[in-house]
Amino acid sequence: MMLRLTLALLSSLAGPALADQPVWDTFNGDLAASKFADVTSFTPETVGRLERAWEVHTGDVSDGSGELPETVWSATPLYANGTLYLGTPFYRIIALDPATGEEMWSYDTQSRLEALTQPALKNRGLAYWEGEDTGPCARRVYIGTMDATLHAVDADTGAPCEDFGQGGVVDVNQWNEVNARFPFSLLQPPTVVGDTLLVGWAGKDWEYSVAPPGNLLALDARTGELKWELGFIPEDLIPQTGTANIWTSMAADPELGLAYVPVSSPSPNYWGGNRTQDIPLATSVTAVDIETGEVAWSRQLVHHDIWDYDTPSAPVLVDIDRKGETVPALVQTTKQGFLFVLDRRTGEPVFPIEERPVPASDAQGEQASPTQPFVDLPPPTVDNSAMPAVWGLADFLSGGQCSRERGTYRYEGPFTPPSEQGTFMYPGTAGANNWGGAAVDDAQDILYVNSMRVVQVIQLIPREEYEEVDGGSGNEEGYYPQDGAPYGIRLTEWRTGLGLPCWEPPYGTFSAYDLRTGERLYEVPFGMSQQWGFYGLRAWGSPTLGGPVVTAGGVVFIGASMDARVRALDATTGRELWSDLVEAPAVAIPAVYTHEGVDYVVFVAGGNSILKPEVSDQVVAYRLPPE
Amino acid sequence: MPASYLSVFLPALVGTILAGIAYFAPFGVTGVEGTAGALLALVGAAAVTLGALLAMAPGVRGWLRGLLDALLFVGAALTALAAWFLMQVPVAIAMAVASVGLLLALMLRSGRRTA
Repeated sequence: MMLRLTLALLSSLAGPALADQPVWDTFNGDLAASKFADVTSFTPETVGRLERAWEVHTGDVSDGSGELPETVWSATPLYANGTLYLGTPFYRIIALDPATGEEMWSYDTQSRLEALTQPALKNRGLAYWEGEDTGPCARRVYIGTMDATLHAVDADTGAPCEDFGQGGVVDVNQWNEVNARFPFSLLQPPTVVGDTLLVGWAGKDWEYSVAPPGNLLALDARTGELKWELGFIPEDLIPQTGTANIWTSMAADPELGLAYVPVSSPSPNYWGGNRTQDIPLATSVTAVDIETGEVAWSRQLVHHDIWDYDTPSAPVLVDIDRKGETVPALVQTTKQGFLFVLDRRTGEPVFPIEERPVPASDAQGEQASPTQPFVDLPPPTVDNSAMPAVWGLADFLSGGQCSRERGTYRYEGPFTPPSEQGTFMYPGTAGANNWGGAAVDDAQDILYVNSMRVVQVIQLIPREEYEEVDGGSGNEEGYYPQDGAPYGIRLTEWRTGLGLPCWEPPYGTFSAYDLRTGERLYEVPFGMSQQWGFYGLRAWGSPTLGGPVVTAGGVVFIGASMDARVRALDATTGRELWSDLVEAPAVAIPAVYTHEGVDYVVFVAGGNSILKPEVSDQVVAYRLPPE
Repeated sequence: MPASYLSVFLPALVGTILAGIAYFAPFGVTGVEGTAGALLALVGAAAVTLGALLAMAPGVRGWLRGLLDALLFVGAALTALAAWFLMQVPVAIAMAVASVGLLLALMLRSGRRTA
């Protein structure tokens, strides 16, 4: 609560007060990444009456069957300046009337629509900044592109801000000077803290052993000039490895002057023989001084990461009332399913973290870490103490394929290293939790999070054999070369020939946690799986991508499921209160805003091939009917 | 007599139309458009419709009618089940009614024989 009040106060001091509150002017709703909407009209009693206020198709979509790569659209819309802003996977900005969805203006970056670093055209949205000046570009919207340009336009008109870089464009690739095997792809919008843009990037960490070393760039929001740069790979290791970059959103506490950055794994993803030395900032959550770029503290969440367990989302900042004192904390969701609750001033654990022995690697040149950090309280978002049992139905229908394979591949508990024989990876590379992160009600100290339970098989393929492989690469699945390593890889979901998962459901859940005690309040199956059109039972749940929003009225809004439904849940129980069918899985975090006195929730239904092949350009806003 | 198969034919025809809508609807309307499952339901409902039409033909007697009755019942029931898992409740209801309609037709026929 204190944090929310502080941020609100700072926000009001930073710029002119807006007539319509609350705004949703960052990817996560606010800099604390709380995904909390202070609206009370959406309650368990009212959301059953939600109706579509408007629906828009941007036209920026590709299923990959034509000349363009497929699109993956996970952009949270922004509501600020009395306008709703969308970033599209064709790297356009579209400004909409928040009440009607009518287009006010659009801006086209003219970016190359090529999958330069990713298997698809991806966009996770926009950033918004407003200064104290008046006149053109006093308020700005930023969008990044696959080919590493960052564009700033006037939030009122869409005209480029001429004082930003060269005619409104900064070529971020100018800072891609080392191991520049691919461009920095700006798929996640910058995080705006005061007058600073914090910029991370995405790359191809499955492709090469030696890659651009991960860094965080701080740019001046007005000019685009570099204020400082922070690298995450030690200088002496840069010739051997790379990445450990920030491809997802960040959080910040302006009062402490710290930004909290989720750092990914070094390259290549599934073999670390080239980087057996310590890389302390890799796969970490790291606190960075916003003014200087100095590391205030860092906590590594996976040692010597060889599972692609990137820290996948901004940590949620929350002031926890614990044992009679208020602890300024952060909660970091992770791909491996642990919830790390840390004092955000120091990085020290609020709940214990224990180093435990984990299995050794038998891969050529590999030296897996002998221990990894484990957290028991709060309980992990999925039970990661062992992989799920073989699902009897799938095993029966596949003639015993699942149970045969269970004995074929290696699994010796969490953090079993990738191997030539094939290793079960649970949670899979897309993680128990991904970029959607968690939502928190700071007044109640309750955390809400969706998760997925997916088992994958990772197989290291010796180089000479890999060269013979004629395999394609997909999104979080397929063959990847890891050039420079003695192994390429093959990554697959553990399924039967008919496509049924070999492991027991549920495949996705939704949970709530009391952060004062660490206790899990509930865990319920979430969403429905779908195969060939057939829906699974509700108890089976669905893999989830995307995140929740919690409102002051006690309702959680979330898309995220394979069945292309958007839902409202009762925050107290996780019970589904309302749902609506959209065109593709709504893998973006929804935005909740109040415009001209009316509360809206808006979903982007862009789809993601990790869940199902269907993609869309649909945006749908809902409101309660007028009284 | 065979006209009692109208109680199968009519709901199956409705089921076919509804399954066709589910399969051919514009993207995002039914959640199953263009899927293999929806096509299966459409083919199943259409097959039951045609089977019911065939059953009304006067020349179908003896073991052939028995086989047709069995196929119609299995087809209608499985199509109803498939539609249920496709969340196409109207199709499921129509095909369930066709299944019940077939049982009614059999009972009517049996009753006439007894009389």
